Amino acid sequence: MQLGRRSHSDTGLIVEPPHYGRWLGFLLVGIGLIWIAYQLLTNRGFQWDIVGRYMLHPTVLRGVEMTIRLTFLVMTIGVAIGIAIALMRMSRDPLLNFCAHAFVWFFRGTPVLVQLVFWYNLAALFPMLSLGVPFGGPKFFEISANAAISSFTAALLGLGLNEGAYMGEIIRAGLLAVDPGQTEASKALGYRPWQTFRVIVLPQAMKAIVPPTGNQFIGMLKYTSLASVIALPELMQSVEIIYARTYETMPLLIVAALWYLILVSILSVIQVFIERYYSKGWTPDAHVSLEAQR
Amino acid sequence: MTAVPRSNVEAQPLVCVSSVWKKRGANKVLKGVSLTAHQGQVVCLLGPSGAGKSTLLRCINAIELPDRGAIYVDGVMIGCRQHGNTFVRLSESQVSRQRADIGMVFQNFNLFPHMSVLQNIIDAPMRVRGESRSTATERAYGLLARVGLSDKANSYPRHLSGGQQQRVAIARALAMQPKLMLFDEPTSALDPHLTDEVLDVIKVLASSGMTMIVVTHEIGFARELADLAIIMDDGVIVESGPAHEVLVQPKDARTRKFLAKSLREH
Repeated sequence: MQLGRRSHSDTGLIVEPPHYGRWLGFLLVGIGLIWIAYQLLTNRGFQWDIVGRYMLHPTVLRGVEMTIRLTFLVMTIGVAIGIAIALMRMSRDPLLNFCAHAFVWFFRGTPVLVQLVFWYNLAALFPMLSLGVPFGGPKFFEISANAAISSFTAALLGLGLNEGAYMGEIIRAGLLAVDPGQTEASKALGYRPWQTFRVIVLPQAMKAIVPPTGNQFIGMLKYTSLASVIALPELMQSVEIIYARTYETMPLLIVAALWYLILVSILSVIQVFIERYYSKGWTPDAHVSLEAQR
Repeated sequence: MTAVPRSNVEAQPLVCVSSVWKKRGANKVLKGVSLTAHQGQVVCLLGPSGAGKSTLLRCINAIELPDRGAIYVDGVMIGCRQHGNTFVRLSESQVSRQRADIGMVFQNFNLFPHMSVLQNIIDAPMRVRGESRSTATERAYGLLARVGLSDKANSYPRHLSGGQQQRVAIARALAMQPKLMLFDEPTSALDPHLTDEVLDVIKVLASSGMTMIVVTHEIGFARELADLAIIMDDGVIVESGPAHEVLVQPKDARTRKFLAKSLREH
């Protein structure tokens, strides 16, 4: 056998084996898609004209707005509680640890739907809400529970507390994923504990926190529809109000589904950008532009 | 326990560790270790794995806290304040002020991966010392030139070799203008040919008069550089003295055994 350089053309070319299975798959999926398109276009039950008429109906738009507002507020509450829970669980203080465990145990262990109805009916348990010394001490502030708990506040409490319990676990997992050497290095440089957390640990934990949080966000957008049971006029409740009057159930459910799909798609795109931001330093390009550092 | 004399500034050691004990679980890691290092000295801590060298080093900047004993750096008790006969631990934020004056270099470099090389070096001077960005950046470029990495300022740590990362880590520690530098096995994670580039940087630093305590397995490096060599085994110091004596003609049997084993491996 002759050693040494061989020309490009007489070196064995490596090719992929033929994918017969894939061609069969294309065929089956194609047939499925054609059938769906055929149904969408020809089945009169969809009543696309009615869908079109209600997509931008004021009641529906108010519902969309309420759904967005509720989702963002609930997630803000959830992330804030989540950070607190994660830090409490990771601290060495036994009391903080116990409190965080108890919170997660309770709010993760009961259904959101039950919590929503519970908060909405809080007046049955505590007719008056007051701030003061318990067991008969003086009261600084008092309000009737029925006035304080609207369906909106009940939804914020029910969904927010539940979300906090889940976010606590997500954030804790993210913080644990950061190499302990990072904390040591930042301590050794003289960073205060809060600076170590905010500047060194949290930005690195975000890489692990963002994907499941995006998932929670998208989940929450749809979970807000549960608030329709306590008469909160979000997207689901809005279309229910309409079809209860007109009996156009199918087209209005499609209106709701389309709106949820649009909102979720927007959130997914935002998530891609946030993930890209936090993967800084892990990307394959060796140099950063000077502008990116500012 | 005697307090460190404050009167004679020349004679006062920069680092004074006095009978430090540390337990981890049921395991006694340090059993009454004492040492002193004077301004400008290079102290090498040697000994088999698990001897407690790294733990001792980490106690000096209070990343770990000893159970008993006192550590003074530049006359200031580290991690505690004296209260009668006992020492009361300081809060984390009080300790963080003390750590800012003590540089530390780790075995695994521990650069911040989400920051560029330049950000790694300037962030602590700006955030902890309150320096302006321009002052910190100017010093950072000076330090990068010293460790031979001027062209890497805008790279991320992930894109550097181990030796380059460790040199950046040294520059980062020096950017805080520390009184004392601690090195925790700075070359153990490196290939032999990358080890030399890091050791060269440390040698230049030593000749500039920086006080350093170095945990290392590099006997040759310790012989060449150390003023004081300290051999530890099983949580105690078995032998200490001038490096050219301890590492050339050791008196203690455990030191002889350790040196023979280390030299065979290298």
